Amino acid sequence: MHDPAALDGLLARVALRDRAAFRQLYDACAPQLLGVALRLLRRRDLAEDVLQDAFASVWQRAAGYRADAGTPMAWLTALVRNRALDLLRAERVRAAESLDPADAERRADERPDPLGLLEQAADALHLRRCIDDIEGPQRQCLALAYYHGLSHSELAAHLGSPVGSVKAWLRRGVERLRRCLEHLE
Amino acid sequence: MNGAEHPAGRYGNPELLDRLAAAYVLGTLGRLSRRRFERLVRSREPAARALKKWESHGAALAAVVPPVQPSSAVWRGIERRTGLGAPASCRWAGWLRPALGFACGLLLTVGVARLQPDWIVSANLPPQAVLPASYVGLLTDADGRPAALASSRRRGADLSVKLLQPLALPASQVAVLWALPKDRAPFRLGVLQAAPKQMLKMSDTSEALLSEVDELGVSFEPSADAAGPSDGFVLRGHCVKLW
Repeated sequence: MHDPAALDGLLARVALRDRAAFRQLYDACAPQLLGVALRLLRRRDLAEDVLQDAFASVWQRAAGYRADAGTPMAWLTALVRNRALDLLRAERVRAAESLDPADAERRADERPDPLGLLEQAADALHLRRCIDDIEGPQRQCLALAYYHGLSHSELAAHLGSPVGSVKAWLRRGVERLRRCLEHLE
Repeated sequence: MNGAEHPAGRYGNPELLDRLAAAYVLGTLGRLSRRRFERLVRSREPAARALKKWESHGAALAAVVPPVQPSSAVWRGIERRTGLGAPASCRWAGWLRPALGFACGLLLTVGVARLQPDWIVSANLPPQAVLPASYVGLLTDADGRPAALASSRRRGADLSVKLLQPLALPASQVAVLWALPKDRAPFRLGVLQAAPKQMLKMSDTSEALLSEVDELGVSFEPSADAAGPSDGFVLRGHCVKLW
């Protein structure tokens, strides 16, 4: 679906200010990227703002994309995730300070368990056995951090554990994940 | 610990860079640490390499997230912010749009240059010193209204800019004027002030800088030395060689 060579070609044409290529790139990647932003932000209006912001930036900065700097989808995913994470942190500060009941409602998390996504990713990458070997709390921390964007303190509150334990789980989990993913290189 | 420190300092340690890159991509770094790591990536190639590796891992993990179709408002917003949508006065359907959009902008620019020469030629110069401008750019706002006029003589390095409506400059930002060449990234021409008439000193003659430039654009930036436009253009328009 996201053929790196085809996306590379589209990005090269976008750098030359080819509007049709820009639209094709958007049609090919925007749904996946909106899914990523929506999973982190939970609010469609914010997720669509992030997507819009990221693509406006792609039009301006496509010339700065280098094929040797990773696949186009990795570049685009990072662009969207970084914006979403910044907004998520800012929104959480705002919501935590807000007395608006709508904000409290938004804080109730009804998204499916992110562990399921990590397992799906592991299956897709043929790394299921390696990732299943990561201890439960470490795996849960990784999934909640990556798919839901939870910070250390939010992870601690969510799991009912001290921040110190969460940091240790994450550190060990990242190390284990790194070893699993090294098999992909 | 000091004895074991890497010769290139703390950030010369590949393991530390790898851990930081992983935490950055996973999103577990705090806001300040994120900014610090971004600066590190810009200044150190090993940090950029570590980040690239983890961004690829991250994209592999993100690929299983179910896609969600964006509403049509998202693309319209992108068109508005990048200046890709046709101006209001040039809305034509179908395949005619790109050609007619260009023609409308060009005619508007040339028309202004012919009908309002006083917008282009400085009224402060003595008549014998006044030569027609060679490069003229007419920038319009998001609604297609003329907003700024830039002009320069072919062998001159001064770019005269007239604001036809005030710049709605956000606090602590500057308005940067960019040249948009046909097949290269935009480059900076200078910073616009709030004054209705102003003169920018370019780094070379307009013939050297603008001969391959199709369009000019203005974006709001946090600092005057922005390397490229960081967001959409607030004003944009064709740049043409007239004489």
